[in-house]
Amino acid sequence: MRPALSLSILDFCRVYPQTLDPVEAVWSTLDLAVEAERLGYKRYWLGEHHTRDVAHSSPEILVSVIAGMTQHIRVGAAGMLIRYHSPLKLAKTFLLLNALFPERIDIGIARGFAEAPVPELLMGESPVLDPYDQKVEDLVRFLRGTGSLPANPIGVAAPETWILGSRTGSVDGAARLGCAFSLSLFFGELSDDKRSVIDTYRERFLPSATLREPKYSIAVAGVCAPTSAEAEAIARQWAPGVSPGVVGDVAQCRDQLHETAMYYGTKEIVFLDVSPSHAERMQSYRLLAEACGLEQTTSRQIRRRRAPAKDPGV
Amino acid sequence: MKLSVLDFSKIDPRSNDPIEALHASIALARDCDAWGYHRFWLAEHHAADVAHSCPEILMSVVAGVTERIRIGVAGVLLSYYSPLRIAKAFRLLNVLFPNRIDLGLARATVDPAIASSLASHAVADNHNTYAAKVSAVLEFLHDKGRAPANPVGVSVPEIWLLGTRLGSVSIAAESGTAFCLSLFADDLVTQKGVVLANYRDGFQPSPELAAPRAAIAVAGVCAPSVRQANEAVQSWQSNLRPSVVGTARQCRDKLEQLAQMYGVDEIVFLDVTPDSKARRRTYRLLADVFQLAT
Repeated sequence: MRPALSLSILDFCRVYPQTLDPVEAVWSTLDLAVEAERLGYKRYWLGEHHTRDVAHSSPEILVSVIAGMTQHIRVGAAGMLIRYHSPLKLAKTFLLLNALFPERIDIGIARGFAEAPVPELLMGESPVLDPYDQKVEDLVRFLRGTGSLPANPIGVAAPETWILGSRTGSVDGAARLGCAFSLSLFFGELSDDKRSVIDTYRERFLPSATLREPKYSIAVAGVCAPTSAEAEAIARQWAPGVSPGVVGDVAQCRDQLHETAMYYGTKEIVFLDVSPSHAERMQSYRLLAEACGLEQTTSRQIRRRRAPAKDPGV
Repeated sequence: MKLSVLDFSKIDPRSNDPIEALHASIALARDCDAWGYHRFWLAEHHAADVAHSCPEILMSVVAGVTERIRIGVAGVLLSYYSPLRIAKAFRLLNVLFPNRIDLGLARATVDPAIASSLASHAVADNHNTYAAKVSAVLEFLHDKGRAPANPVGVSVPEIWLLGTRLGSVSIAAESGTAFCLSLFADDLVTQKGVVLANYRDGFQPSPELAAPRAAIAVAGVCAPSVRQANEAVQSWQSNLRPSVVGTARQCRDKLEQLAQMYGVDEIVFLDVTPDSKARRRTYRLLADVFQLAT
């Protein structure tokens, strides 16, 4: 008997000229998020990208809408391109989200870049460029209420803080600051052995007020379809910029996901589906939920789990 | 007359609970939606006495729990942000809540210590820089900027410039945006008529707005008795000027007088009483006396 996996969704909200225009892509995401909760996914994560082939660049806005449309699934950004954000503003944004949706919000921090001229447009002509490590540290301090300035809403709990990375570069900060770490396997070659990244994270991890033990997940891209031929056709045609590592029918995806999880010593997998249409995306995540034996929630259970609405007393 | 709401999410010092203040804002938005208000605007402030500094986040929640009322920010402190980032966020909001989103832009500044942490660049607070940033926002919203502002090719939110003086009004007029004149920031109320006159005279039509659209924003309290209204104002702990304070009839008379004086048919009303029950009472009484729901 293999251990149960916990599965999360990473959504870049990609646009496909023939099948998903920007508005359709946004609505596809909302639909998928609601379905993901029903299917038993643990987290719904949204990327920040600034290219023309994505529907939006503002995951923090979609996080709040999706959290409002769902009852218990965790919702987060994965990740905010911290180079182009003010750590104070980011902290305020995600503290507010976590105040509105307690214990359901994740902030993922990414080290990635945007292509010219976007950085200049996001940062101004004469930007103050703090090093990545400094910005991460500032953000984490603001989130934990130990920053150089108060970040409202003051006194609320910090969201779960994840550092995202595909190499050893970002793992140090995650370990030193006592943050969770998500290792992406979809950049670069599939055969790359990245277990050393996880080993480094575990060895260097320092407990923090918000996280006592190392906590990490593995992020993979791919697609699950009724037959392996269909899955392979989709993966071959539609995976620009990412390497689809988990591709196949239910049984094949089940094996690949368990293998990956076991190899890296985690039970938590984040899945980035590369299908180019709403129907195929939905199908892929339904099949993956089946592959991992996720426990579905009925709408009645969802309602029962919902905390009673706070009476504002007005 | 159209009435709209400006909400600061003030924290009640008796409980000092920002979460309570956030829920009070959400509940007030639902009430004001049902009571017939035209817009619900959230402010961006960075002081410790407000529950949040991110209206763009709270407005998506407020838009999600209301049916028809327009939701906006009044205003985004543009000096500290990237026009591209603002355009992207508000286009997405307008996709999520079509024809219900207002983007208000303001030139106000914050404490320098906060400013340096908020902005990723040196902030030059002068008329030309602000004007350039406003026009950059508009270019991105119209797909004419130097980079795509995703989601691309979607409709534009209603754009408002907020201001107290002639400076911003000339930008609004030249850019063809709506303009909201604040009457609560300083004492120059008697000279303000000329601001809107300049706006109307200089207005250049834009793709979204063929004719000038102006509103005034006033602060005040409406209560069952003058005494209760005055008590509420005394609890404000704010340097804002309350110009409309009294019973429902008194407030109605004063607001109608102001609307006539400025030639507007829309007033944005700000009550900053820390007690959220008193705030709610203001908006309920005003909705009743103006019969907004009918």
